[in-house]
Amino acid sequence: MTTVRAARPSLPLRSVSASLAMTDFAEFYRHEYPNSVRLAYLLTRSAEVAEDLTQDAFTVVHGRYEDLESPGGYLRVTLTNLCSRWHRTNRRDERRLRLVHAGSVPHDVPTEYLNDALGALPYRQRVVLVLRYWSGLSEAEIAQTLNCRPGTVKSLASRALTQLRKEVSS
Amino acid sequence: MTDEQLEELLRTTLERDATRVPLAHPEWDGIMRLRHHHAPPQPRRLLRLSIAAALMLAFVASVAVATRFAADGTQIVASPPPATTPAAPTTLQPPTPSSTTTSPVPFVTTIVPTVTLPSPPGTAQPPTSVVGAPTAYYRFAPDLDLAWTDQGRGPEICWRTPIDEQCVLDAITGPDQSAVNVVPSSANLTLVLVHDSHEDLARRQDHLIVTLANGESFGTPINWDQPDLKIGIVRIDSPADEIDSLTTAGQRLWPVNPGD
Repeated sequence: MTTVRAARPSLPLRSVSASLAMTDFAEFYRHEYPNSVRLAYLLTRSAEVAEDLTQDAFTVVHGRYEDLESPGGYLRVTLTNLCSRWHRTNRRDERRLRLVHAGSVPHDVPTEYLNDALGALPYRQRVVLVLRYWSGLSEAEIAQTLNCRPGTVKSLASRALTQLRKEVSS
Repeated sequence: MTDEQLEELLRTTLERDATRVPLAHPEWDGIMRLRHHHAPPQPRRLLRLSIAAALMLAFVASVAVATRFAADGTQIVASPPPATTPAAPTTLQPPTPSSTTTSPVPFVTTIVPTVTLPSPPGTAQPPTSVVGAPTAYYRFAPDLDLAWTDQGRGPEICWRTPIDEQCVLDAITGPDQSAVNVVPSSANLTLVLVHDSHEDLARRQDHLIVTLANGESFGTPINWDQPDLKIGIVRIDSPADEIDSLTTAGQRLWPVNPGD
């Protein structure tokens, strides 16, 4: 069972559902929906896909909401898995999306360079960075979400940051 | 750029990127309506689908049968039930590899159970522990005693043939549900021991398809004489090194890896 611990104070707090004691699924949905769509968007880079996958994830969670110790954590794992599955089956579409982004965004600020570089990262490296620097999860929590060892998370993050640094400095 | 600067830039970038996504934010009921068209089929609709599928299958089967009749003009004869306990002549009879030698049709569809070697006189039915033996051997044939053990390496059988020889340990390997041991018995016989973990006898494989090195194949019944032991036996009147492969229901049992 995935558990959600409080995020570290120095990082943005995204997954706080466990501490809110939400009993009503509609309320849980209202609370978690925005950040879930944003997480899916950061992982897929498509608003439509992000919305679809988020709805799918909520549908999964709804089916077993009563039995879940930590619906927020379960939702995050489900959503990450759905994004991963989507990524596996839609690599071609994703490359096309990346090209559209690259052609339409002016490269005049470092964040845009970084944004493109993020989109070019392998999926698992990207998801580690998003969960670490946007969701504010610890390495252990990311490892739980991705069902891998914390060492793997560390290694993925290190490689991703090295690649980003290379892209930005070039 | 330092690590801290890069991390800060990354946070800013992700934050900015995340705010780009438009949030339609439908209520939960909205999602349920959106997902309604993915609802599983109702029982009546399921029934209709099942009937249609069955009719379609029946049609395809009848077309296939008619085509086959037209193609070779042969008659399809239902396979006789497997001979579980063949009559016990006093001499050994070779297997009758009739399927591959008489018909070019894939042998899987035309397997007729052939009579393997009959139970030789002197075989305990069911096998019983050999009195006085240090291990609980079971006498499967006059020249074959079997015991099995698990010494931490997984289940193994120990066989001795002739019965006064030293016991030979042999690992039981194979696909999940079934496995075989090929035991070269004396007098150029091969005893194939089939292990099947299914409790239900009806679910166990009742035929083994033997392919010889010369390309001949034949189906032969597996005699499950000992439901408690879950070991079936096939006796083949060929040396073990002339057996190329053993399969059952399309599943290769031996050798497990063709390169072995």
